[in-house]
Amino acid sequence: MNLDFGIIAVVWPALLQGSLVTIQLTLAVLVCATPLAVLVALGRDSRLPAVRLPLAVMSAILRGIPPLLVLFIVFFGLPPAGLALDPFPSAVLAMTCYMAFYFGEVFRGGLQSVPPDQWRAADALGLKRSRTVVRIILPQTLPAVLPPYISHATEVLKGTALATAVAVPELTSAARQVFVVTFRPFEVLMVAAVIYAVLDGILLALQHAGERWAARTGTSTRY
Amino acid sequence: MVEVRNLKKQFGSLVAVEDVSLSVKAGEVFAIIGASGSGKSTILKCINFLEPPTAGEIWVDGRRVGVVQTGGRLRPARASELRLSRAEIGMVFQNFNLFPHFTALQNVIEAPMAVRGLSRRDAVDLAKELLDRVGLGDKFDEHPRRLSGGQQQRVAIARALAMRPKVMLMDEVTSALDPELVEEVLGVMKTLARDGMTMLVVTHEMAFARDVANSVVFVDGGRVVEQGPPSELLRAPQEARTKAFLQRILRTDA
Ligand SMILES: Nc1ncnc2c1ncn2[C@@H]1O[C@H](COP(=O)(O)OP(=O)(O)OP(=O)(O)O)[C@@H](O)[C@H]1O
Ligand SMILES: [Mg+2]
Repeated sequence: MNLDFGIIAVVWPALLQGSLVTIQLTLAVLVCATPLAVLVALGRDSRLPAVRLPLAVMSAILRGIPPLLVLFIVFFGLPPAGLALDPFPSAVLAMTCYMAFYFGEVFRGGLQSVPPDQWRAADALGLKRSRTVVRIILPQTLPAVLPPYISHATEVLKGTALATAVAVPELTSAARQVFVVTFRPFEVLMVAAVIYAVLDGILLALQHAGERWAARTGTSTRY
Repeated sequence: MVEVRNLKKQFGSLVAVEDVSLSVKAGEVFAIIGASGSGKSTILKCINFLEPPTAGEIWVDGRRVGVVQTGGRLRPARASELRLSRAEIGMVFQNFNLFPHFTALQNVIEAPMAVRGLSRRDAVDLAKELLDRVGLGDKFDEHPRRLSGGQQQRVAIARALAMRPKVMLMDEVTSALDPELVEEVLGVMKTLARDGMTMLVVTHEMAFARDVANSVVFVDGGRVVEQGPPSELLRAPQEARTKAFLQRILRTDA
């Protein structure tokens, strides 16, 4: 095969543009899904069946269907119901719904790893529930939560490629458009793969930073 | 300062506390003694409603805890009202329960800032003063896991004191400590007592009860068996069950 990576000089603006969309989409989904996931996690173990049961059903359903189908439901299924969204917000909404329940399970495991006495100590001081969750409990879930959280975040990053199906101009879609015009699929797709690998690497670096923080403060060891 | 009237607490079908009435005056140290499982911790947890009582009344500083009277009618306190009551009641646990991701100082300033609305600067000043008072003036920035048990428990005492509570509830605060660390915590408690803090203390430290408490109550099977000044209850118990308990505990102490 006659490789010509000189083509990069021509295609990089398009790939860079696609990468930016991929990054934006990934961040938007993480920013929206993470707080929702915390609420899902708290709700899944709520004392109130009216909160607990619907969430259990939704969790089972959403985690059981293909993500592409969720995307199609949002993009093609909602407009007739009166909610027509552009491709990018459609993708954010679909992946947020989907991931809120995946991350929800992650946080749920994390919450269960914190000794109940920590809630009691915060209660005894008169702290509000919301403050207890954010300041006292969630930071302590970090060691348990971080590795699965990052591996799911990596799934989000890779999953953004699905958004190409509703014409979001993210990295995979940009790469395809570029190689169709340049007739250099291999080189272009290799470059796209390298960019994904670098973005993955950034997520892993975040994980290590978080683990170092947890080790330094001692959240990772019961005492 | 603290009135417990006919307190009852049931867990399912298990009656953990039955018809307990206690009266603690301001500045008094009130010791609760009794065997394991007799309901001592449950009594303390009912006072700040960490466990809502099944029946009975709790009064702290003239105010009913957990129940609010509006227009001649009684209703359970809302979460926000309960938080206000709890802010007035300090609690120290057997296992310290410090927040492990916070330094000693952060452990102490968290609640005054969040609940009392203190500025960070005021909270830090207060926290440093209190940590100094419990002998940890050089440990502000240490995380709990780098402190000994005795030091952790003293941080926990400072954390509770930072809310300027009207009363302190202390549940076997020296039981998880190595013997050589017990004295430093008891020392802090003695200082508090001398400074006039009202305290309810669940303890197996009979010497502490004898020397510091104004009143001792012996509970067994969730009920008060005998109550009185330590000089009487510990030296000349009237009830057979009290005698048996004291004999047992003094034997293991020696
Ligand atoms: N949350 C709970 N659920 C069910 N039962 C409980 C609960 N808390 C306490 N109990 C039971 O209530 C009884 C009294 O318990 P409590 O912890 O008050 O005893 P204690 O006197 O503090 O004992 P110890 O000296 O071991 O701390 C025990 O039989 C205990 O098993
Ligand atoms: Mg107990």
